Amino acid sequence: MDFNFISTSLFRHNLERLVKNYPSCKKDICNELKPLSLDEIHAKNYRLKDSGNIRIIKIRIGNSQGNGKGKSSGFRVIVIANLRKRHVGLLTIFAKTGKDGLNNIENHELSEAIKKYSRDVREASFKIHNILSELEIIEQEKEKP
Amino acid sequence: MIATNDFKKRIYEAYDESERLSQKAKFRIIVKGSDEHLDMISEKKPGLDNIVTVLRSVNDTIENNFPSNDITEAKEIKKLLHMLHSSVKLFSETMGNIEFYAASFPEALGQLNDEINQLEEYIQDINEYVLSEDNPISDDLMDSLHGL
Repeated sequence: MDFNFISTSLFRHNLERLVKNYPSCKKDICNELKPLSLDEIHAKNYRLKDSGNIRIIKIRIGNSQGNGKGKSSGFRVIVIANLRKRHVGLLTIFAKTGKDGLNNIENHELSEAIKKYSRDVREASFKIHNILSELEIIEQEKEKP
Repeated sequence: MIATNDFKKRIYEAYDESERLSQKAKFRIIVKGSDEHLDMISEKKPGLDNIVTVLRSVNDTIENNFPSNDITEAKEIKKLLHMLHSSVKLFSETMGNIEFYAASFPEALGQLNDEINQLEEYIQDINEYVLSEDNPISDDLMDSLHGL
């Protein structure tokens, strides 16, 4: 794999909260993302903002514990596909249904998530994940800004 | 870019199915456990399952063809989604408000609502991130990312 999946502290916080109610959440994210190249993620059409090499993309993920309910009742992961840095930044995640379900992300939360990404990349304080192994953190603060 | 005609066709099919089911979702007094009750379940359940499947297909298609770069297409798709949403929402509320249906099909109606919520999410995202002149993600914020 010639690119990294990195995460912000906000993403990890939201993910850990979700995992309590949706234990298969990490696996579901990996199954959705691991077959994709960076270019394929960057080329996805569900774009919230397009800035050339850098795009903000929403990805629908099904909940495998949802008894075949499909992606509409699963999770949403918002990512930055950054071709220049050769990484996919995992910005935030939310569930669509259940106790913590949201219909959509609030605008200010998304802006905050992008600012956190910016800060984490600048300070090299993000985490790098193994997309083949349930988002296990494989390296820390290795990639230079 | 969306294969627009095929995409529109799917939305119209979902709309037609929703309207067809709405016509049949009339209030009737039925005794629970009666033959009529069982007949009603046999009659309505396939239709409900079908509209959920059709909506799910529409929603999956939209994700792959979200009109992020084409204002004209985004406006057209938004209109179609509003039309579909209006129909299925009315149908869902009709079914949900009739206690007998709500009690007979809780899971299918839950799935229908999930698909309706997805339509709402798309409409909201098209509004805010494609059509609005004031995208919540500012150009300045994006420019700052290029400098990292």
